[in-house]
Amino acid sequence: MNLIETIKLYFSYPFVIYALITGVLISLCASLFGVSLVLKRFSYIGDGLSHSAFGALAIASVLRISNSMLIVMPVTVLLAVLILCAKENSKIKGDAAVSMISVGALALGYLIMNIFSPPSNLSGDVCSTLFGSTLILTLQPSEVIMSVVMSVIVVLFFIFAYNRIFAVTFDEEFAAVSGTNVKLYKIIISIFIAIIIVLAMNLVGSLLISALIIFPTVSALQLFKSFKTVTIFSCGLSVLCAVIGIFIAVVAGTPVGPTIVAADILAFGVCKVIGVIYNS
Amino acid sequence: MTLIECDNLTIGYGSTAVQTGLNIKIDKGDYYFIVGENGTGKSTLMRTILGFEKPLGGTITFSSELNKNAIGYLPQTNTAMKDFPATVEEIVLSGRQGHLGWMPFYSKADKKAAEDNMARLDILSMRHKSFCELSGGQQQRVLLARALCAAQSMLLMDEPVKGFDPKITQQMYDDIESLHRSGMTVIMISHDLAAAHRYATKTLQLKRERRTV
Amino acid sequence: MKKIILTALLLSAAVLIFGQTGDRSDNAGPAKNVQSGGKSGTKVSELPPQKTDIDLTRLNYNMATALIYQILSDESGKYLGKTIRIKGVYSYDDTVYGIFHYVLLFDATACCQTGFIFEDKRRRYPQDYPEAFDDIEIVGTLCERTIDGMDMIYIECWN
Repeated sequence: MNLIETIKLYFSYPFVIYALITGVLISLCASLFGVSLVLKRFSYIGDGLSHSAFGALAIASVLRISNSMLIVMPVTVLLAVLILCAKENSKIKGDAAVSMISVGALALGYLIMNIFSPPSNLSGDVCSTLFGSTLILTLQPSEVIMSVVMSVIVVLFFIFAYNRIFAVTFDEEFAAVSGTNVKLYKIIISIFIAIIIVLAMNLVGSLLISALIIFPTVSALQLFKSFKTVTIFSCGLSVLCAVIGIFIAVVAGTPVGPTIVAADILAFGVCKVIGVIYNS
Repeated sequence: MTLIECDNLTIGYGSTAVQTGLNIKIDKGDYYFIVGENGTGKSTLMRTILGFEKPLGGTITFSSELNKNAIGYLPQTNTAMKDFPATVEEIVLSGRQGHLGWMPFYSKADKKAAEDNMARLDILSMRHKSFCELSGGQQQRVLLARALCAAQSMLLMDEPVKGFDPKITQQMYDDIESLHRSGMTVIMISHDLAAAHRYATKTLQLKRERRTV
Repeated sequence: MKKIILTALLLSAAVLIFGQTGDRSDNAGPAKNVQSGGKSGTKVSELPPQKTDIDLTRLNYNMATALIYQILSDESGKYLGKTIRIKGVYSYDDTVYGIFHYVLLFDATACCQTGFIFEDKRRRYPQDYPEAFDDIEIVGTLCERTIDGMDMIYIECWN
């Protein structure tokens, strides 16, 4: 069976289309807010929140809670707000605290799952949850709809609040003096980031979410120097890598999450080289 | 009329006081210089007035005439800003954020104000250049343009001419003086006693407090 | 990049160490425990190619797993009665409800597995069944049965 036929066969399955739709939307949202996170030196937060989300997921499974989102979402949102809205001068202690929570949640989560052995969950394999090997191919229509709705809200908010997000990212203090409600915006941004990270766990798994947030932005920074162009390029690149990653993973049978990250890494390499050549 | 009044103000960090018992009156139309050696708390005072630090004692009263959302602030450039990907135009325009209200996008008036301020400081030709590609002096002018976009009646500046060569320094002082003459209340932190002598309507000189152990 | 590699390496080490302890499940119903060591029996002979509604042998691991998930989690019953071909690894489990025979698909790192229970009324255990973890190819119809209140989908083999 040749390649074209294989592709036609694979893409005739609805769950592949669902994977593509969700993948595009999640990577778009992750990179949108990734720009602010990277520029404010909060790159580590992807790991911190996703590992904590994994821990929360483990607790939810062990407690036999069927809709794990009921625990995972609030926990992640709370942590996001605490981390991102902490005072600037306590950030030095803050990043150690985040790392402790992050790795603690991951280790304890896995430990709990081993000891208390939740009922055999078809797609709850730890491997998938951590690395996202096939998780995104097992989405139900309701989950896809939820992802679409969330993504639309996220994108609309970003467009609406773009100028404020720029102001708060570039210079918080000036924004505060100018009358922007910096605290409110930071809380809203934190909530959205938490939501995006929990949704992104479905795409690339807990361990690799940082890649979705960081790589597209850093790639864009190699080439562009205005906030607008960095944001737009970062989104475009993120979506492109997600599509290519999912496509290759489906056709070649490689795990989805790592394949997307590999595409992101490759894109970064290309951008870096072009950036160096262009600047010299 | 008095716009800002500090009564027996103590400023500092945590439990360490840097200055105690400050009594300050800033009136409308003042050109207020804050001078003193490093470590005497000049920046701390400005940050406390702006609300970034809590006063350790005493009170600060703002007149109701003062629109707290229309204060222009020129901080010292910090390192995070230096690498930030943003064009001159994006940064200067962000000075108008106080005028946004609930609207998501800047109006034509906002864009015109940004253009005017960029032209005034001779950075209009660089509007599409990235902030990180500019020299220190140029960056400072960009931030001043931003502060001017935000300032309706009051401008606070933390060492605005630090590191400038004499010609640019003079240009900055001239610009600020003409703003002052057109009604702007200016509060400036500076090391430049000569400038204070020349321009200030009031000067506050902070000295290192002798602490008895 | 370094962080991702380092994290992945560290976690792999942790998973390796933890993974050795294996599952400790005492659930009612088909358990995940996979026992090794079957009796020696005849290996399943090559089945003649037959057209089936669902042919998992044409799909790679990702797609096959995803489709298996769809089938097992489907509540409308639209897959029941469909014929299926699957090639995987054999395993069995001795439970209070009898012996369950599995055909399993493992991913490349053997970290995750999924698959189906199958029943072959023509075969007798243990002579006609292969060794555990031998390759096996199953062709059959998807059926459903209720055991201890749980609906189970399994493959009823035919030739």
